[in-house]
Amino acid sequence: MPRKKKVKPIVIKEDLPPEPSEESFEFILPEGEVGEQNAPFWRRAVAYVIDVFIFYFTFFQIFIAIYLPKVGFNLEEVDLVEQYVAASPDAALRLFVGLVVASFVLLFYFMILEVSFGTTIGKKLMGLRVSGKLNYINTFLRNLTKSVFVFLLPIDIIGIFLYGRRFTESLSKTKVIYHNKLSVEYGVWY
Amino acid sequence: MDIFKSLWALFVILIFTVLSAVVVGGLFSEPYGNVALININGEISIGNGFFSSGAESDKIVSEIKDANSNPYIKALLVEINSPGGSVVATKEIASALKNVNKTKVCWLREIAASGAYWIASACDYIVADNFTITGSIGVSGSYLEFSGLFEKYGVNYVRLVSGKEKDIGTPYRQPTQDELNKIQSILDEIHAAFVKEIAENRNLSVEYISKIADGSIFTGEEAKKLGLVDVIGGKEDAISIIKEKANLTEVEIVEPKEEVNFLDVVSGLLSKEIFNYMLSNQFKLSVEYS
Repeated sequence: MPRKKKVKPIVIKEDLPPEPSEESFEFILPEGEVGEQNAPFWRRAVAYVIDVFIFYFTFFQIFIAIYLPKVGFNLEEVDLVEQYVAASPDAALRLFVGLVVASFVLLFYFMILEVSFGTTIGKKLMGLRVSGKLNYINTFLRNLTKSVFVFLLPIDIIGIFLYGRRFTESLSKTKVIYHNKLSVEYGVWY
Repeated sequence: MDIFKSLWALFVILIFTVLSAVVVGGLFSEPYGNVALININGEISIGNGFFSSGAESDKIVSEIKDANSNPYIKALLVEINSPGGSVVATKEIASALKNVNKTKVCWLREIAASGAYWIASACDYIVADNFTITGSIGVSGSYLEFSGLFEKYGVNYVRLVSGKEKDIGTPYRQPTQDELNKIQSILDEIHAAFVKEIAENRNLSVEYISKIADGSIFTGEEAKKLGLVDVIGGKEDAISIIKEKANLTEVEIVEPKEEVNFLDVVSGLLSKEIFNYMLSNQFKLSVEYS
């Protein structure tokens, strides 16, 4: 028999908007999840874009700063990529392998953050998190189409409109929800 | 705790990023060649002749242009062992070298005379052995004239031409004074251009080069004293200059690869015209060359 837990009441400050009417609803999530509301597609898309931008301007720059010189590309001549490829067919392979490895680094980024915090930087900024059993296998599965197999992402996204979550999320039994307390009517989250 | 956990997570991702770049990059770490070797060996000509051999200008110009547009190549090492050759072919190669905007070091071997020296002068630095034969700055239009031999054996040259200079330079009759003057003026014109190019390339005055451009040959040692050569040495010295001027810590020399197919091998023994004739008449085949 599950034990009843006392829920700490939320203190609403005076400068907050007035109490929601009966038509609106709040989900209060103590330690156990008592309700989950799927995050809308646009929030998720923005969160993904933010994560990709953060990754691109940080870890990806570090990656190419180390990888490109090692495979014979001069960083000062990055605009000569076409000439590098024309000069040696091997150059195209090196670039391709670099992109594939960078996509695995992006996958690792999603995995580490979701396993550690249940969310990523982009999701956190958009007030979202991932619910479900967040182990390395599940986070690996759910983030494959956002990184290594990004060309399958458009197909994966169809699942959001059909079932409320992506196909890989169904596979990993996870979904993206609003983070903690949410007042839908007022769009406040924390 | 959350901040430490966040920093730790970011640190783990950073370590993974660095390790993957280092490990995967290490799989491809064989160095590319960064110095292109341009070989000019033998008599310089346009090429495509019967039993064509020697330094063909079309092929060499193509190699030079490829090296110039290849971002991996940081410098050119031009190895010359040639007595010279045709004017136009020489000029084409020298012009192609002058258009290269990378460090060019020329390494003279046994002989680099006449047109071969013209090409060498287009490089930034010239390295020669002290016994290299170079110089011979000048133009020659000499030819054998057989009119005396024909007269001895009762052979007559029947001259049928549409213009008085149409058979100028023919070996079957003695040239007239006007024809000799005409040929000489052409040679002088080419010579003047030759001298001007050398003077410009070596940063010397035209007057100075004119004085030594009487066709005289020089050893490498003499050429250095005259300012025609920069360094007395060999390949290692040329490579040292390349490392210094092109800021390279390692030099990996790469020779241009020539794609050769079966038809190239066979037609290399014959001219393409004869080969095509044989194919079309003997075997009823035709071959197109791109």
